[in-house]
Amino acid sequence: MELRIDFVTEITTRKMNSEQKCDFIISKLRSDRVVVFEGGLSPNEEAILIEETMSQIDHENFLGYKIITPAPLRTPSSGLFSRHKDIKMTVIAPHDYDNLSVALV
Amino acid sequence: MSILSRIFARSRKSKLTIGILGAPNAGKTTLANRISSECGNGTPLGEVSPIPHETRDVVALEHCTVSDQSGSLDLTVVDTPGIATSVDYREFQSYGLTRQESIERAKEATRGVIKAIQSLDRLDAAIVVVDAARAPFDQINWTVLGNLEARNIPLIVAANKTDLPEADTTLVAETFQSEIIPISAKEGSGMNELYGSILSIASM
Repeated sequence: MELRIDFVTEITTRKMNSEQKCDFIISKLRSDRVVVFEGGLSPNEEAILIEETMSQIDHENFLGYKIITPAPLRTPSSGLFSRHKDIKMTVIAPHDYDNLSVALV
Repeated sequence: MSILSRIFARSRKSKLTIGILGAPNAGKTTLANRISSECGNGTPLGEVSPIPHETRDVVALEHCTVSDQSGSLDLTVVDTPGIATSVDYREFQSYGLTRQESIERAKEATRGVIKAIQSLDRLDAAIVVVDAARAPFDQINWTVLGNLEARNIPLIVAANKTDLPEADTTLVAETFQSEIIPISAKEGSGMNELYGSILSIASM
């Protein structure tokens, strides 16, 4: 089985509004790709994604998705004036990826 | 009545609309029916079934009165369909439904999920029902909690199905890092604590 993962960097996600993010994710899911969103989705964006997905489920090819948001990873500060940074990601996969698990290490 | 109680009673809201939210088959409608029955409503709010997405519409019970020594609260209880990120009609076929029946149910289920999300906008408070007999790591629970917090809607996490031997309410509390109310909507245990929490929210 071929697995394709699209890693979407925060630089790209920052240019998208919530609707654009959802359209982007659903188009990738329809192509059977796993999407990794650096920076994650906000709760509101997750709700919009659910609504949009439900309106697009066709009961043939597109049946929804699985979503995992692993616990954010806190990077150590590298110097006196640098601050901790929380690395956050959301992983979204087609609905039939039953055993998907993700961790930030 | 003490002075504090009088102040408490005066500042409490007299009406509250509370939603029952969560993943499919967490026991939301069983809880809604329990509240409805304890409010003296003769008819259940909805059908309960082992097949997921039995509740596919938002149903409200109005004028349910909850009281304590400080006074009473006019409660509107909103039972919502289970929130999910996918709906696979083949799951319903495994419960004996025909392919056509399953697809019809799946279509109604997708519309129900949208209604459940949209119902968030009309709530003053929410009970998030978590099935304590299953691992509570479903992202849906976080999505629901995150959306309620983002909208500043006070919430209660109810760890349901404590009548089942595999129920682990400690794991639910550890997972959500919050106070939870262990309940069995089916048998009625924990309901007084739940009503107490609802009254506390009305006083916020």
